[in-house]
Amino acid sequence: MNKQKQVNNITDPVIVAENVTKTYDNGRIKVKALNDVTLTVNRGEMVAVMGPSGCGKTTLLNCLSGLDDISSGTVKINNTELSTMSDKIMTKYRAQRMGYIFQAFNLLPVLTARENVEMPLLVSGTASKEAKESAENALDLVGLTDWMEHYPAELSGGQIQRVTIARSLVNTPEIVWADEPTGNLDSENAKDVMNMILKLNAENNQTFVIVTHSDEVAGLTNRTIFMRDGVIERDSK
Amino acid sequence: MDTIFGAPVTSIALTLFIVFAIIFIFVSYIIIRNPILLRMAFRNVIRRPARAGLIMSGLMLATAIISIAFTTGDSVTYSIKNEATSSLRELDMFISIDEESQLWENQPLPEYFDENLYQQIRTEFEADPGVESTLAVLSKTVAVINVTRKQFESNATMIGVDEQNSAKFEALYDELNQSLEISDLGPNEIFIDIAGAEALEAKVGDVIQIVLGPNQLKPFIVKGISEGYYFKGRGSSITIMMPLKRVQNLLGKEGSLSRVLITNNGDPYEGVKYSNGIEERLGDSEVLKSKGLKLVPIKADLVELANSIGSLFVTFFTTFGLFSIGVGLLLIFLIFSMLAAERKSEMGMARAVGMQKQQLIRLFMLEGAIYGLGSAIIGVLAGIGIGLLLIVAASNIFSGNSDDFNLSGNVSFISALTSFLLGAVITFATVFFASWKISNLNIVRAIRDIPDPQGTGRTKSNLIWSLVLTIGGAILVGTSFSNNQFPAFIFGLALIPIGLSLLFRWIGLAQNIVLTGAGVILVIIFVLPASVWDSLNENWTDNFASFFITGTFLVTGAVLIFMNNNKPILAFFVNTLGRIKSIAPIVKSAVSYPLRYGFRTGLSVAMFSVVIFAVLVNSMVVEGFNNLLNDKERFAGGYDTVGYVLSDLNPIQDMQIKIDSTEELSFVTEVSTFRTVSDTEGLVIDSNQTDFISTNITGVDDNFMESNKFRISLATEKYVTETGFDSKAVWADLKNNPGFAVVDSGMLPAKNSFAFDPDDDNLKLNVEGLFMENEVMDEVKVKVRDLESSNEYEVTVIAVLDEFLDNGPIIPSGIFTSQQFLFEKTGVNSDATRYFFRVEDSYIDPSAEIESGLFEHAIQTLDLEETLTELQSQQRSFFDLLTGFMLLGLVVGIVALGVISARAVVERRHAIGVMRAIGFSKRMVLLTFLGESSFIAIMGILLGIVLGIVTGINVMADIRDSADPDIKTIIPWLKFALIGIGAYFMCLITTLIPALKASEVAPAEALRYE
Repeated sequence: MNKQKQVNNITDPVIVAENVTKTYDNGRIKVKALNDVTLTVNRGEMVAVMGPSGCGKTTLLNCLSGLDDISSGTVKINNTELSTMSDKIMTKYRAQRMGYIFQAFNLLPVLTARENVEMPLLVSGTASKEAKESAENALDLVGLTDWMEHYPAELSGGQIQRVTIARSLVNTPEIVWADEPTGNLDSENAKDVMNMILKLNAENNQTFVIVTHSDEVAGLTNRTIFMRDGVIERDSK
Repeated sequence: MDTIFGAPVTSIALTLFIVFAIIFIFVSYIIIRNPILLRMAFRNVIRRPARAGLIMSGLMLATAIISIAFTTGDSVTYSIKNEATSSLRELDMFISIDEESQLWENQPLPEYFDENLYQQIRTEFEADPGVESTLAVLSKTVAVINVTRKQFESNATMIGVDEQNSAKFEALYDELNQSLEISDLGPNEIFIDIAGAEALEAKVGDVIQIVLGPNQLKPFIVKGISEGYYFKGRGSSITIMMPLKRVQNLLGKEGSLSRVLITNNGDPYEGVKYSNGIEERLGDSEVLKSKGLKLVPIKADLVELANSIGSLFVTFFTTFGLFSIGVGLLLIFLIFSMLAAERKSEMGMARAVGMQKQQLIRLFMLEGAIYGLGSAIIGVLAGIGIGLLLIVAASNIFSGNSDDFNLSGNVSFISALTSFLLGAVITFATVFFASWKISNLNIVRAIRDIPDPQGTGRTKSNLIWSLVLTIGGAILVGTSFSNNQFPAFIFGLALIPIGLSLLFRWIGLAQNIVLTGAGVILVIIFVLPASVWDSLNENWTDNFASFFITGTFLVTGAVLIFMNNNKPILAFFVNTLGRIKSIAPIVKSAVSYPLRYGFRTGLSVAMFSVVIFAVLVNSMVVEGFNNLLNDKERFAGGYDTVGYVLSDLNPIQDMQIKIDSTEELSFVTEVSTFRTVSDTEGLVIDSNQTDFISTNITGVDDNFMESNKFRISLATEKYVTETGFDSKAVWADLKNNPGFAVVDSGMLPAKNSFAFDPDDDNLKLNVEGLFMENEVMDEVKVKVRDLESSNEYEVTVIAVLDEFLDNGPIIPSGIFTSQQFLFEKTGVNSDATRYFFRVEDSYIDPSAEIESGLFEHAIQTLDLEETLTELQSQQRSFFDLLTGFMLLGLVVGIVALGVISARAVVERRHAIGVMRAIGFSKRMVLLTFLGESSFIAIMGILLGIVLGIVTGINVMADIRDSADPDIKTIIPWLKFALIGIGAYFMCLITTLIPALKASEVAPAEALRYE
């Protein structure tokens, strides 16, 4: 893997979390998944979140990205507190200004690669023709020009993840959230995907928050946060 | 009901019970061997109670439809039996003149027999263990007037009873429960029954005049109003009772009896069970045979009639419910396939840790057995409920037709049991098939929930099935072609493209190409007009089966084309609705999902289509036939009122003179007379018939032949014109050529049996190659035997009356010839039996005026315009009821969509999370899910409408060519729109809850969910 640390403009805080707590309560037992977490991520920063299974990495990503609500504390994105946003505004915000990369198998299986990539644009009101062109460009960027009309079931794991990356970047979001983006990939495909993410981060000054188990992936970012039992154990820049 | 589809109900129930018992033992064996499987199956059922409820309500549909058919059959049977029993009261059997006895050859058929025979009959019959008592009577239909209240009635039964035995036969009581004795009646006194008293508004002490002949009005005083009445003639609403001797004296028939009434042991409801035994023991007794008498088990005959009409209803409703039963079974298959899909990874894991394939099948079968048992019980109960509602609705529709007959709900235990067993067995059989099918899984793919690969199609089973279907279809086509069996022919024809598609698949052609090909061929086969098939074979015989086959395969073909060409469909939606920015992503997702899940979408679309198709074709046929009833001239032949002569006591010698001499009938402008002779037999010459068979012959007068406007359905070459048959020429020839005859359409056999006519034993013109559907006929010669005079003569049938007249009670059945000819051949100028009146234009209520003017001649009239309107309204209401029944099948489609949506929410939880993450709002997720079910429902409804209209147009063209050139193709758009929109909204309601659930899925939770 090309070990290349990206150093961008990291003085502008884009994600600010203060004393964030998240408790899961299923009626019988309460589990504190995040316990008083405070964290700031600057624009253009590429942050890896690591830790053992069940430490709260994905929960932190979901809470920071607004996919999940928090039990206490505050999360601000671009100085706007998420808890003040209605679901409708939050959804719109996600569609227009955030991108998501999950583990493999996170494409909509009934849509082709191009249609999957088009979807965030269509959702945010882009005209059909324009959305199609942008999706084709995004797929071209990730090297899938010849695979645009294929369904996810017809693509390899690496190709699927590249489609996911194209989808997360097609609307040039300010922040990209990635949960185990290389989790289901072999080392070769994992390397390709990470190179692509690094390239985009360098070119577009986008902020990346990446949850990973992989030291290699973390090694490519410019900051690594270690979590254990719902708290940030270590934050190494 | 004793039989269904010709098989005894008890045998069907017993067979089903044995099958059910085998299933029960088998299921019990599984439970004993593997109790854990029962626990797992039970927990699977209760795991999602709401969905279990939805599944049960879908599974119960087939059972419910069967149960509805049984309930209507039972109710009709019960109502007729009840009516027969309550109207016949104590009377179970009677003895009367045997019209067919050889004793009456060469002499007039007597109406009465010698009173002296009674003692012998009584001794013999009352010695029988089944008989309680007998009663000698003389009865006659008469017209009566309540002078006190100024009321009259033209159809009353005057009965004289042997007063010595009358109380033993049935004791009479008045409304205050005071005993009434016939022997107490004075010379001018009568008893009248309660219904009769109501009809005449009679009270005790009123003066009632009985018309006994021309200008013979005999007054009587009502001494009592009785609950009982011994006997009431056909259609009669009044019985007037007096001693036997007095009636004999009034009619001048001293020493004569018309009947000996017999009451069996037990009450009126139970006594009928002895009738068969009594008939076996005494039906051929010497006293009856030697004197030309016969024993008529009247109550048992009516009970038998009730049973056959009940069976007819079951057949009718089951036939029309076939589509719904079919889609019900599809739903069972769909539900179990989806349950399997949902638990695919669980099943894969179970197989991986050592569970045998057999055990998987058993697990599903147990679950299916729980669902099947529960749904069969609910289905029977729901069916009974809906069936009873249908009976209430039918009762309201027909209540205007008869004051006497009440349709009341009833369900027998054996019918409920049979419905339950039938429902449970077919549900279990489908579950077993589905379980076997879904247990064939690849363990690794199942665990990882990876879709099964499409495969090359080069499998042994594809090859075997392709050969079986293609060769089987070809054989069926060949044999049915030579046997002229159209339903079997098109069924065989439909199997061939399906078989060939499997063969091409085995060879290696792509699935979507071969299935599209099969679909196109099926659609072509079933949208071809009937004239194409008729050009291959002119002698096809057809029945309702072809409708079911057409609907099934046409919809299958269309769905195959639809589901195997999803790209153009998707492109169409994306390029139309998808261009609207705000809904573009919703449209794309909502159309893509159903198109990718071809199996379940195809099944659901087919469920909607086939039911809508059946309802629409049925509606178009009904509308067409109902529209014919707007043609009053055709229905009534240009007449306004028909009058039926009920009694021969006071016949009118010349109706025209009577009218001319009656001032209050001056509005009558024309009258024609029918003289029907019932005591007639016929033998068709040049046919296989060897014995004479009973029929009617009617002599029609010159007036009728000159001026009636009734049409002709079929005639000899001579009468063919460009626009059909020249009916005027037919009637003119009938007038000018003695011996020429016309017959009613019921006397001709039909190639096609779309009507539910009970068998009748009357004469038919069974000549080789002669069918109602022919374009022209040859003359048919019939030898007629007049039973009264024993004269034999020949008539030449040149034409057949309009089939349409079978709709109404205007024209009697049988043969029609000129009165003059009939008189010459029989030597008897028989009394008029029916009159046809024309009246001045716009005269209001002529029928009532005519009846009033002629009441002393016991003539009952029928207003033809009113009858037509009533008939039209009844037909429409009945078929609306039938449409409602058929639409129950849509419930299956709606439930299927509900199940699919519920399943989709579970199945796509993760995808919902992704959608939410990339910007789908809750509302968009909701609309996507509603859009999916809308897409399936609308596609199904539209496909059903298009196929239904195309087939309806073909069917109507066929009816126009073969049966009725006047029938119009009417598309009831409003009805279609209401059905379509109603079904769609029901779908929205059913899928709203799962769609709301989908929209409420928390994205983070969904993304974590695997």
